[in-house]
Amino acid sequence: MADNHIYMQLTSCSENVGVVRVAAAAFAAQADLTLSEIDELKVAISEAVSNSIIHGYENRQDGKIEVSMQRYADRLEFKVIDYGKGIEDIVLARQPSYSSDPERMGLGFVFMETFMDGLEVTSTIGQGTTVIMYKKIQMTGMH
Amino acid sequence: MGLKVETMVVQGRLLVRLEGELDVYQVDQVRAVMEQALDDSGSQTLILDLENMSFIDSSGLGVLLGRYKRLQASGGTMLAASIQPQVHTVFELSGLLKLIRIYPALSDALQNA
Repeated sequence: MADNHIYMQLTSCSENVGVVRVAAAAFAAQADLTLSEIDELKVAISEAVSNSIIHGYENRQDGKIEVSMQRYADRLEFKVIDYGKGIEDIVLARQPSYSSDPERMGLGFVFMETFMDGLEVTSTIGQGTTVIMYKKIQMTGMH
Repeated sequence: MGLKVETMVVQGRLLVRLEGELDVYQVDQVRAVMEQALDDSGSQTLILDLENMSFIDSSGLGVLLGRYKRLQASGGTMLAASIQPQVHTVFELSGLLKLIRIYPALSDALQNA
């Protein structure tokens, strides 16, 4: 059972990336993370939601993205779900410099992996992608 | 949230000041402003003043990298001044720190540009 939980549903407009980032930072601030850990989390969540918009929905603004944030005793878990085109080869997509656009560095998944303590990506072509990532936190005292 | 971009030419060098958070929402606008300023100024030196840029992710990095590549292709250089900790971490991880020169303050960057 999660100690606390937030669920957000948003359309795939790029301005929503900042909204989710601010919400994630505020959610993480409840868990005694350092400022630098919160900064890391903000990058990871930005990358996940941006991927859904840019790749999942190919910059269409009418897609649905679901974000859930859960606080457990030992970790914060973030789930980002889209119902876009899906990722053909997840192993390849997680490599640095994997990008179809020369101006992008293909660092989205690298940042998620580096800045979080765990990352799991599942995807089905034509159905969408789910990213689950977590950050460890200090064990909270028993209530 | 949000981002402000300002450009000016200082002694023939293009100064770009970014304030706020640079993510996918702002990249098209920032790219257009920077490209226009590079075209208009004809400058081969671009100095980024990042004192008030509090956040960047890989989308934002892409815009800066794109301008770096443009300058590099024509023999130009890109410098950055007053980088905040979050931006520094992302620059470091991406390898951008090895490509551009970093100065603690804008005055240092202007002196060395």
